[in-house]
Amino acid sequence: MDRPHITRRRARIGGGLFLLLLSALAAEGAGPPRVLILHSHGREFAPFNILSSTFRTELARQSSEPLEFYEASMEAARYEETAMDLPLADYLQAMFAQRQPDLILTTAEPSSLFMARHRSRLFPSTPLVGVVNQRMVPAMAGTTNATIIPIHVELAVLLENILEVLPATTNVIMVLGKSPFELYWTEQCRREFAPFASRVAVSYVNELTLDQICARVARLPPRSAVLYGMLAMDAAGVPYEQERALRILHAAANAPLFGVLEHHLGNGIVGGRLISMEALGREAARVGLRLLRRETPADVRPTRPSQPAYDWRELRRWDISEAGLPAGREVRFRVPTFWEEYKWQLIAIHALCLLEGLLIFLLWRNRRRLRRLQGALCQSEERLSLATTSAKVGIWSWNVASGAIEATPEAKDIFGWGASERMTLPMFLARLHPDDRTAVQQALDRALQDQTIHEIQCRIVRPDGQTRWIAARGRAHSRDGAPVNMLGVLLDVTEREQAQAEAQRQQAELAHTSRVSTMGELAASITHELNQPLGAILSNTEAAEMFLGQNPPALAELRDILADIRKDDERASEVICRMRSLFRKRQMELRPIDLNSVVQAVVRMVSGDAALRKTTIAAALSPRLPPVQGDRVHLQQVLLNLIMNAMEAMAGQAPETRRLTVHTRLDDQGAVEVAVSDCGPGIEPNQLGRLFEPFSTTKANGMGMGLAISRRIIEAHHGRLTAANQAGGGALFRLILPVAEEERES
Amino acid sequence: MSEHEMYVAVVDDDDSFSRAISRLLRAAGMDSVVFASAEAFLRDPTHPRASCIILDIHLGGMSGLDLCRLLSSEGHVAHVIMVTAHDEPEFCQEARQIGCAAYFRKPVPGKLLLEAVHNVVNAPNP
Repeated sequence: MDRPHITRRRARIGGGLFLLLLSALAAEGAGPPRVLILHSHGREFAPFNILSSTFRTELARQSSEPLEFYEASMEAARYEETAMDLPLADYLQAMFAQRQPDLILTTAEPSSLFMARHRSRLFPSTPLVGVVNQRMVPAMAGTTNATIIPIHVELAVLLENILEVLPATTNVIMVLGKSPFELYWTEQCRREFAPFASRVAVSYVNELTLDQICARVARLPPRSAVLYGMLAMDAAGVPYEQERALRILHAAANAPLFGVLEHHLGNGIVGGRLISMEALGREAARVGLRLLRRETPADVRPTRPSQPAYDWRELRRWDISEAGLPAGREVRFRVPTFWEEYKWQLIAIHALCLLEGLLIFLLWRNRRRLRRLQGALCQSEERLSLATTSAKVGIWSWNVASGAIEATPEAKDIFGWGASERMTLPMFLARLHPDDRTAVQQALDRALQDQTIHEIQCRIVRPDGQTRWIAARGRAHSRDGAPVNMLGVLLDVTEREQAQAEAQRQQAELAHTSRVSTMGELAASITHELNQPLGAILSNTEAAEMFLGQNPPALAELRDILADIRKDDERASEVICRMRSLFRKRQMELRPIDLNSVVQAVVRMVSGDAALRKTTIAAALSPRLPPVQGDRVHLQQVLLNLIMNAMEAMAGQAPETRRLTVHTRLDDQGAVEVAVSDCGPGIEPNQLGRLFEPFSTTKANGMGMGLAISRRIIEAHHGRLTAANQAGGGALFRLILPVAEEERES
Repeated sequence: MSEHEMYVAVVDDDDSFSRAISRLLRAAGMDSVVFASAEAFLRDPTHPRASCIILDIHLGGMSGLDLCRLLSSEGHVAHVIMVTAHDEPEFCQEARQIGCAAYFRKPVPGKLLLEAVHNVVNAPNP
């Protein structure tokens, strides 16, 4: 048998109870308040040990003054209900003989009922706080100066706890021991579990030792559960304090364990709605404190089973999903996962990895873009190179400050420089044809001043002595207003120039051929014009010979003759001069000329022919005509061609209708116009469109080149040559030439 | 030159040529009268006395051939020598058809021309 717990005060009190009682009475009212805790089952008897220790701690903490605690125990679990009543009452009376306790706490029914039975003897003036099973509250009724805190034990809730978590459960082992307290609760269970009989078979183990119970719970069929009430003493009478049995059962059981009290959680039970002994202890302390202060105890707050709480480890062990647990649950003892434990480290590592990954990705992407760009650049460069190589275009860049010229191999090749040779501006200038050097330098200076594209065409003399024509285009780039470099392209245009020159030569040749053929048509005129003076000269010469033979010679006659011969000779050479200009092959030279004089010259030239053809030519010339930019001979040829055509056109009609007019005038647009009109049949409408096409002719023996060449000549003069039919009959050719630039400006 | 004397008429619009021919005739001892056009010749009342006409084809107005045709249609019989700067064969043919005594192209050798004039002048009237 455990000895009742006695405080150290007892030793001081010593022996003679009565003496002490007297002295205690004398000393009443002095010293710190005394609190007596009367246990039912021993000081360490679970679960009430939690209640009493919480009460003690809370009371001491909340009290404004120091407290003296006294504890005694009924040891009711081991003795018949009232067997110890009298000695205990005597003992307590003796303990508090000198001074009565100021507050009494009884935990559980035995000690509470003991106090109720002996209240008249045991300090009726001292307030009593009794914590009892709510079923025993009526038994406490009428107890003097007592405040009852009921323990609400809803047994049905215990089974519901199990079925809530494991609805399939059909078999429950209810663990309660053999002590009277446990037998009492066993009876209560049997009664209150009755409604569940159809769903769950509940078996009890009061008659088994702990070993037997262990063996039993180790081999339970599926869908079983163990409900641990308490095991204070097994069938063999072995006591188990402080839930020691629970831990043993937990180790042995093959089915989940459930419990009743909150402190069971963490000792091997799954969990559920549990009764908190701590809460009861706190409530008892709250009520006790008020009583110590002589305040009327306020309403006792009911302490109900807690919100459902579960042991995470058990849930895991029995593979119970948290999702199926009731709402508002609390899961305790969660072993932090690796993630939870090292959350920040992991986040940091992941963030670092992510960052690194991102960096790698960015670098990779950058690299890929770079490679793509490089590829594109290569391709572009290749294309450019192909284009420049095949077009034989050189690219150059001139650094103005250093004078260095960067150039592509094509550019260097044009100058006859090696691909690896360095080029500079002086080297470039040295290669220029002496005649072009000044012009090029001036062009470069101009290009540096403005930022527009400049083009120059000049000759270079290569080291092999070859003269080549080059064309260069470039644009200067400046920084802060000062030219920094000039970039451009370079092209050898020698072939082009030669081709152009050749084309010009051929054109001149053709024009000449055409002119010669026109001149052939003028043969009659020429013959006539030359034969006149030649005839006169011959006759004069022969007359002179005859006069010389006379005696004396007729010197006066001779003088007249010589004068006439001279005049006729001059006349002949004038004719030849006039004709020769038409026969000569020559380039076109544009200079300001008076169109009227051209018209007059041509009219004079054809006058003989016109007479032969019985054609009247009238010239209506506008006075004060501004000069045009033109080549006299070429324009003469065009006019000649038009006049000859007109005369030809009128050949088949009566001589009096063969009239041809040449007009000149300044038109509305400020251009000079020469119009050649005839009275012939006009141009056939279907011919009008292609009149100026080469080889288009209406003449039996014509080449068809006259009008085509005429138009080419006029276009080279930036003028126009048109053909039309006049309303009153006959063709009208208009030759329109722009006024010479100098004239326009003035 | 007396009033009834016969003379050689030179009808040509080129006065230099006319002058040269008239000198040549003078050197050969023949009288000549120069006319610048066919019209001027016809206007001159003495023209029927011209024993010989040295005539150009291309004249300012009426052509030498026309004058030739007109004279023969009017019954004036003159000995016409055609001298022209042109060398179109058709003119030569036409001149012969009309009945010209000779046809020369300028420049005409003086010896040939004077021979032709002599032949015409000394020949009996047709």
